[in-house]
Amino acid sequence: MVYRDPKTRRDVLKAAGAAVATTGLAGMASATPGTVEVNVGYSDDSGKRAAVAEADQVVREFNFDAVTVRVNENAVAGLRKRPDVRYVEVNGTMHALAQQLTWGIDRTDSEVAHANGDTGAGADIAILDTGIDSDHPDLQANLGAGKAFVKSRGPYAEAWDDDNDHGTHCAGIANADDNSQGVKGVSTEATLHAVKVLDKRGSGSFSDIAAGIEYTADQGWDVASMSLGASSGSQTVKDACTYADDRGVFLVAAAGNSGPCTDCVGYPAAYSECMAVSSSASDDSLSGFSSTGPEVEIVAPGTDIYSTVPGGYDTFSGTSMATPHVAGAAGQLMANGYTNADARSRLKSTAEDIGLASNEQGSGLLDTAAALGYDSSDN
Amino acid sequence: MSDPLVATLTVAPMAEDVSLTLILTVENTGREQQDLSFADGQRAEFVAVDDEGSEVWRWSDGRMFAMALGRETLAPDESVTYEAEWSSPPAGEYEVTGSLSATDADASATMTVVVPEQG
Repeated sequence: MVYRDPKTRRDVLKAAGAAVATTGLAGMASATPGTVEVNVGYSDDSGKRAAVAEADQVVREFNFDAVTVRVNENAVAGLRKRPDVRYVEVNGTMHALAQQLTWGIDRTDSEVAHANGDTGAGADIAILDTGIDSDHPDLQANLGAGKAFVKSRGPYAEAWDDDNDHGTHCAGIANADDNSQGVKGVSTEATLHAVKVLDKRGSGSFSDIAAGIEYTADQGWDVASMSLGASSGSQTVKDACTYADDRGVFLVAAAGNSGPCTDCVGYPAAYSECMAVSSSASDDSLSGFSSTGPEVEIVAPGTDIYSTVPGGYDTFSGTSMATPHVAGAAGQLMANGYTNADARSRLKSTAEDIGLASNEQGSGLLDTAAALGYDSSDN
Repeated sequence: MSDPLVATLTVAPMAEDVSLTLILTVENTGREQQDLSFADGQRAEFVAVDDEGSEVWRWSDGRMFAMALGRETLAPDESVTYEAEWSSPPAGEYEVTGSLSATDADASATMTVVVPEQG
């Protein structure tokens, strides 16, 4: 059991409830739009008559006080309110909510890679962040080892469990499981490693972040995804990046959320060892919050990104969300034998020009399919 | 109309350690909900200035932040607290200011902190 503080839990439940209300009804089998099959228990024949009167079709009458009927979904609330109706329940198996194709996965043509069998299996992607929810159904199959340089606050199952939401969100963007629910990542079968360097509030010291980068390199992992930054640099973090880069780690970092601004890429993104990622919206415009500058090498989806959070799903925006899109694509390439340097140049040479200035988009928009050699002309 | 956000700053010396814990409390004293927006994971800033007006310590120096936009909501009479630790402050007298880092709201509080010479 994973501990969550009441506020976070409540927010997550609210978000999950909303998702059920919208996609749950739409996903149910129904003869005509808006029609649902429900079991109605009644305490008096007047309740049964009310249910039958609302029914497009009476599916079954039980010998005990219940009927199964098909009714317009708008009739359900009224039936529930009747004193002579004991319950109204949706009939049939509760289907897991269908997996959504998020706009970021779609726009980067990552689903084209999946359709061709590329999943990132064999790659190790470290998420240097607030941790990863250790029992999320959309991530658990992909979780590897974790390490906490800042321990999560609360009685969590793991010291690297996510006590914020941010790290779990980034992990899902990079590499959520391609299953029947929630979302899927840019890669779907790479191994995710939680390297917890940010605390419950979402901040971390230079020393802890440098230690997380060093640790990632020492494990021999392929990718370090860093959805974090500061406006001033740190020689220790820079040295850690050099250490990891020399040992073959693909380092990717968020350009920063100081926008609108020019020449304002934060650190560690501005270090030459890191691939700096700016953020785009679904209409291919630059996200208003995105930092820009000559260090930007690639742009990726970062506005209104739906992904995993502890206990459910939520929508966040930031260059933090753009960064793990690139991490997942780099994982795909390195699973196929690319070195960190080759993956970096491949992602740049196959990026799609979306017409932004070079300090805004770098080489262009991440194109996972093109990077893997597939036709992505469908966009 | 007065600003509904009222900030207070308190300091708690840690007994064993030579560090100070600063606590910024921001309360919504207005009648309406206050929405606070943040550009990243930084929610507050803490700065210490010595008696000559020179900045001697800034909490965010040496830290990095999650790069997702954030939002917090304060209902009427609701308050939120942010903590910062100042490790090994040199002896002296300082004006310490804690301030909210929201992009669409301001709230800050200042207090004098005296750090005694270590025995």
